[in-house]
Amino acid sequence: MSAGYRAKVRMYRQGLGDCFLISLPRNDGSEPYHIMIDCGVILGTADPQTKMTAVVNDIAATTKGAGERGKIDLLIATHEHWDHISGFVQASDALGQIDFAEVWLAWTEDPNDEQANKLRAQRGTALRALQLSESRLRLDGQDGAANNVAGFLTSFFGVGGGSSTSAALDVVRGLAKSKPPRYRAPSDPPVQPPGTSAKLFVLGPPRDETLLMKEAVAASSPEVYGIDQLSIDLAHFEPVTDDDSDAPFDTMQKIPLKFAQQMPFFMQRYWGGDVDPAGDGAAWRRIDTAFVQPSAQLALQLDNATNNTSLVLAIQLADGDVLLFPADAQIGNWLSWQNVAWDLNGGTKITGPDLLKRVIFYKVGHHGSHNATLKAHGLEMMDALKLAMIPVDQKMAHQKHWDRMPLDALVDALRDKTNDAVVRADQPLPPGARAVAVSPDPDPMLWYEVTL
Amino acid sequence: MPDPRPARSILVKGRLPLEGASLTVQGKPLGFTGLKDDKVALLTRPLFTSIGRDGALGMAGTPSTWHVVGSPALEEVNAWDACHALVTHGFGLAGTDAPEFAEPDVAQRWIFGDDADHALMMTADCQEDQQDGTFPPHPADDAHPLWFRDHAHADFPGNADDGMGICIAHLDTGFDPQHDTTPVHLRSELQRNFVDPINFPNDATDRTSAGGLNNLGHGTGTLGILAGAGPSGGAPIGAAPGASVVPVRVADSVVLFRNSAIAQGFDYVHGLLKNPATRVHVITLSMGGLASQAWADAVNALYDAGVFIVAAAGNNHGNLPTRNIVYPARFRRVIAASGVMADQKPYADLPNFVMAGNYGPASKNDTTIAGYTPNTPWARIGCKHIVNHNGAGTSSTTPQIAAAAALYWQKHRAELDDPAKYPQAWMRVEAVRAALLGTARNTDATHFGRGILQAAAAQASAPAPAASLQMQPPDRASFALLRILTGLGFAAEGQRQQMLELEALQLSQSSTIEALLPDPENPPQTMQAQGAVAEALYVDPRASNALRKALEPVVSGKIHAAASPPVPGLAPMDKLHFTRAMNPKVVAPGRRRLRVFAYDPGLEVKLETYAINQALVDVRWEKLAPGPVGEYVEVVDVDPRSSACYAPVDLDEPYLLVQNGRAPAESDAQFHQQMVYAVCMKTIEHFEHALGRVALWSPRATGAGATYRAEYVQRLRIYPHALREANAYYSPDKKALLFGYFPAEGQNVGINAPGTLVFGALSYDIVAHETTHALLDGIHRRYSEQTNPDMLAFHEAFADIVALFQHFTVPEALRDQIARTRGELSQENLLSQLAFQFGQAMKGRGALRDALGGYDDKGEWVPKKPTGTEYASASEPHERGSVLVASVFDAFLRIYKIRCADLVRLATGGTGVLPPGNIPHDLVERLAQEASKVAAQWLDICIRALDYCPPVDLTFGDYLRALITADRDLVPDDTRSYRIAFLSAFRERGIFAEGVRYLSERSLAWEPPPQPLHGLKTILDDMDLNWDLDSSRKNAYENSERNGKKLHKWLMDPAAVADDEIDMLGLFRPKPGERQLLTFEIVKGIPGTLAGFEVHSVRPARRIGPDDQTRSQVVIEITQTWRSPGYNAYRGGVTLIVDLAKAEVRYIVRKRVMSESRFRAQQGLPQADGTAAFTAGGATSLYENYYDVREPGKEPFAMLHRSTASAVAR
Repeated sequence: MSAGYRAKVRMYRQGLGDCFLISLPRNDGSEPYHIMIDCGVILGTADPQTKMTAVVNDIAATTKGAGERGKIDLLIATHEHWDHISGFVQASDALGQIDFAEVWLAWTEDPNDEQANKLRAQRGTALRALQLSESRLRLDGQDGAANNVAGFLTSFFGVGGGSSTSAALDVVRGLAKSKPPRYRAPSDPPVQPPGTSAKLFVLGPPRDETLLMKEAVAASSPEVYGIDQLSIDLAHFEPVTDDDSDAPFDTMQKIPLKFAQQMPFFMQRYWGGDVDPAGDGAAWRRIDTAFVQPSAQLALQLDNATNNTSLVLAIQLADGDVLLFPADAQIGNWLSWQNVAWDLNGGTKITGPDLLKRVIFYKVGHHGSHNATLKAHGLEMMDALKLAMIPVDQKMAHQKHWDRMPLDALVDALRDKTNDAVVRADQPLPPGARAVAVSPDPDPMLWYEVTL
Repeated sequence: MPDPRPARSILVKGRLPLEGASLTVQGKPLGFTGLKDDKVALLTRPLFTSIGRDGALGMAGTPSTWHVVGSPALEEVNAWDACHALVTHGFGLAGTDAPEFAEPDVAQRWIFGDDADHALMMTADCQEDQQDGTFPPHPADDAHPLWFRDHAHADFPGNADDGMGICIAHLDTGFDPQHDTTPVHLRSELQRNFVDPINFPNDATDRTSAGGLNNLGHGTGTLGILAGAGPSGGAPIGAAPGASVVPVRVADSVVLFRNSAIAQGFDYVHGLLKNPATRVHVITLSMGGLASQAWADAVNALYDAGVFIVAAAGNNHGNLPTRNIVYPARFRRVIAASGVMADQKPYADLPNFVMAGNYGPASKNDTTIAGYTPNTPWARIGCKHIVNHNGAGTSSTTPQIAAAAALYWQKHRAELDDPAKYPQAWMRVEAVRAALLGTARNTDATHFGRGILQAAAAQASAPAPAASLQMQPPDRASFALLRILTGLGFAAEGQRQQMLELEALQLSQSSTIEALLPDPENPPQTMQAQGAVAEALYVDPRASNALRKALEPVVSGKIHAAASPPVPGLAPMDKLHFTRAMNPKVVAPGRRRLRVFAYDPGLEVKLETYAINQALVDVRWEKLAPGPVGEYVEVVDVDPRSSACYAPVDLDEPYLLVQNGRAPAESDAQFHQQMVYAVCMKTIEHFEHALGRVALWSPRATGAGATYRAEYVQRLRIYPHALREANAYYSPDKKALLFGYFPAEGQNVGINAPGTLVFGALSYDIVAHETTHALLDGIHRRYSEQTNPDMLAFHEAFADIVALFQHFTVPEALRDQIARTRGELSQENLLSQLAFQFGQAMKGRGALRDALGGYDDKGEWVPKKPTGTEYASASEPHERGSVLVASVFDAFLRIYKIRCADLVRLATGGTGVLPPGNIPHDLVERLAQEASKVAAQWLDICIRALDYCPPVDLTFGDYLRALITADRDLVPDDTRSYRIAFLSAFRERGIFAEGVRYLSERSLAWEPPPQPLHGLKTILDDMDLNWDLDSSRKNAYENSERNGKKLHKWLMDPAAVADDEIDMLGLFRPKPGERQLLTFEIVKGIPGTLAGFEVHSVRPARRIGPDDQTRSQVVIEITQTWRSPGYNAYRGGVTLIVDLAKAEVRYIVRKRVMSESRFRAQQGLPQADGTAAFTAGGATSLYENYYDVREPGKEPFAMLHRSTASAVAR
């Protein structure tokens, strides 16, 4: 092998968010094949433009080889979350230095796919419902509850903050100027990057909607899952109109709230007053927003459902070793890999479990959270695992009160499995990682890179 | 940074001893009642730093001025009563004067449209909103957005430098610095923020606290009208685009403000006047509300200093809450901005709840002027290029008046600012006012006051000579009628009187009093009309005790008008005789009968059950207020989803009393209220009967750690129509039951017609179920924690059990079902089913839950046969709970069968085999009697067992032991083999008790402690254990708290209770004087904090057994909590059942805090022996992806998956 390495993986350390650059050497010794996966940082990160621009500049410089401009042979935007795609908006100028040959998105983003459109419409409905609940909570003075909902809305969808994730995805779609984006599914045959001996397998997202929606592990028998469709009645959050067909009683019995507020009974028992917090109408007993209470749960479901649309990439190297990039795939997506299989030329068959068994590099799913690395049908199958990289910023996660990101138990399990070769974006390199040829960016500490 | 200011404060005028300092005052110096702590943290800070401080210094060196006094104690008292106490008693510090005046720092919301519309708007994209078509549009429509400025309307010149050199203070919600329309001459160096002075003191940006929403952008909108530049570089939209503007943030993003913030805004402007470079000419304030004396003082000072103030007249919907001009616009030294529409008609008295402007009273007409609204331009916050065309309310008219004043000042500046012409500062204000008021187009004095603003005409008029100007008398927040009412006359002054007047004035700002007293400045002359106002003030729920007391002499005559005739003056015995003869004693009835649905309205539509669908329940008599509101519960029928309330039913109304309440009807909201009340009370009675003491709700816990406080909650709140979904739940945080309703939709809705509304409040079972959750929470408040798979399941199962056995208390339905099943209650029957109509609506067949069986794939009902593995294999809470329900119900059926066997033999001539067909009526009757008797006993046994359960971490096995022990305790000989029935029914479903080797009654019963607690008698003697069915509930609660404290002290004292005794109780005692152990490892290597003991309850249990023996016991629950970051709170505890007569512990039920295996199980850690772990919380939730702790605000009994049938009615 002329390059002297099989693959290089560079994890950028911009904060809580994903951006990876993978270089696969060409057999003829020419410029390597460059794959870029995601480019984003969570909302709330200080000075994100500068950070993401530095990342993109580095990618341009690294990939330009002898030429003037950077070159990415394959760009993958895994799913529509701000912490994976914000850079496409924030570093738009820097992106201009790079030529993109091809763009892949998950089939769930395909505008011509009926099932995808249905899912995206659902997502849109849920987003709308969440925005409405947030505003209702805020108008009711319940900033705490509103922030809880908003935390997910803005962190992941960038809603309201000027540009949104859907705008960022639109930028991605247009980056490969000569080629329309390709929408990938596990049913696609593996792709061999030209001039290399590697093969790219798309493991997810699954087509099976029950798997797409699967969210959590049941306790009694792990990996048996509860199905919960994201079914939201938007009407629940909209203002009541005059022809309210679901009103419980005829209008003759109805006392509009504004009138009732003037009736001594409701004044005393329900609304009370600021002057007399000790009265019967104490604010803590009111139920004005009880009907939007499930919104925090809804936000989590939406977050999960979107994570599950992650495009999962397995890169098989010439000798059969596999690099796994599951983005933020959750349980259902992981489970679906058990049943994927490809018939290769020459009659060989490769299955999802085959690939998992040969994983030597694992990009840890969803910043190391609880539901994004499967145990028995995931980590425990990765017999060959040598190195794991976690793109996480625990300080930022704590600021958002996400105190399980990354999950200690998972980090420990990874350490055990890799002999301490767990690279966290927010920490110095552990000795075990240096032992497997991980090195830091010498000066600005912008990335960690492994040479395999 | 969080705001350290207390949530509530009062405004105090006086010489305060320590400004800005934190005072800790001993005792109860503020006269606050109900304080539990003897130290009250008091935070004072100056309200005014400029107003009132430029004059002579007071004797003590500090001027008498306004301060803000905040205290957490204000959360618990009527703020006006606190104010009176403060003025009467002072601060309780030697050498300090009592303050002169005090008023609540009211938090008010500016009325500005409808919440639901706002919510929509806040989520809208940056697209232009057009004019609102419900109002008369300008002929040129949206193409002419600046119509309000044109010649036919307010007639502004429309030049870019209009207002140049004049400074306007804009007191509002702040502004959007990014917006295109931000005024050219914004004085951003002078901006201030009185909403969030902690984080952004010098930044008036209108910020939503977090999140990505747009906010209402009220200030951005008004600022645009005042002096806005043009969007995208176009023509300016403001009326005075050349004016300098000082943005001052006094209200938050949703236009919620505290009186103190506006007062501070005024004071800040006053301070700016000292420097000519920062001099402010005009203040515009597009909001207002209840009156304030601090505002009056500020307004007076600003008027005297030469500042023109205009404030919004106020908005209303259907003239609610008030259509009179609000404060500070109502002050005469302030110009009120009312509204006129594009077609020159008043923006007032609009129909159908369309928002309209306030006007009047007549005494304010002289200082009111109208501007144009709605459909004014409205710069949209967060969307830099967007100006909407639907600005509305008097919010929009206020900046128009301010702009006209600025233009006038600009034009006549030389004269106005000439001290020779106007020697006194107030004269300038009056000169500007004279020009604006004098040139206004007066067409309708009632609505417009002096008329409609004509900016150009005003500008053209020459400033009036100083001699012609008259100073407005100083404003004050007064209420003349109170002086008349209380007989003090106009002469009476005094601060207390003024405070009462201000309170009365605030109360009068409501439609109720407005109807009686259109103009407080002109009190009615007749005694009758005056009395009506007095009465309305007196009964207003917000009125302070002080005001009520002041009004009492006026009102009491009316209230006690119906006195009996005088008794003739005879000898005492005769007097007694006549008194009795004239007023024969009427004894309160023991019971109240109320009509309800026997099960739910679903039975009504089935022919075979039509006859039994209604039932009469009788509940204990109590005097009821409308609601109903009684001793235990209050029904408050608010339906936020429908934006509606339903009138409270008055069950004490004579017509309703004589006909057992309202007739059952789904369409009658008041019947719903009656039914939830009746079923809830019935359930409470069952508990009280079984437990032998009054029932209490779990106390409301606030704060944590040192600020933790538990408050007595007298009434459970019931919301019959809280949710529009197939759900109902008990909220432990709100101490409330929330019932939902939903339309039966789709094809598969069983007996329901599609679209029928199904109401949780009309299901006897659902109401009983939810009430039971609340009652159980009142006994065991730690049972809502999911520390093992049985915990949530138990709450569910127990609630189902109580609902099920209540079926047997409805005689008609019981007889019907016995007849139908020929006495074989193990067949499908209504008695064993829960929530029939809900189940039909959601599943198409069957009930929501069935203790006996279910439908198979073919649609046939099949009984459930015990397999012995049900318990082990069920994981979902309802599924697991159903195993317990089935066990208890099965045990009941066994006994019923045994007890009926002889009856059947008698009826069948000894064969015991019933012939086919109907069974005889008499047999039905006797079987029903047996069933109902056993069911009542079962209910008693099941409830009574609660006293014998551990305080934390209950398992079904523990409950079985509690059942056996409780029954054994009361009925030593199990002659009817009840306990055997329980034992075998549980065993057949695989429910065993942990660590019990033999499944015998003797080994299952809890045991006494291995050694007696030696000092127990001393502490028992020290307690007041008088708590039974006759107790006042509040006394019972307080007693229990007191006893708990005593017991706690005793337990913590090593001299009283030895270490090995504490160990025997399964607890671990911190060192004396320590609250907790800072590091404590239950499992090696996991350090945590072990808190001290918590005595959860000390409750007497006095029961009478079937042998008429009284058992006097007391149940004591002690718990202890271990905490560590990253782990679930872990608790241990012990229940002691103490025999009072012998002063010894009869049973001890322990969950040792040091138990390593229990700890491992709860934390999801593998057991030391390698067996699998249970992950706490059933299914691991999505929440765990991000968070460690329980979801905040989450209702443990609201279902997780709201639209799935299995989870309804938790």
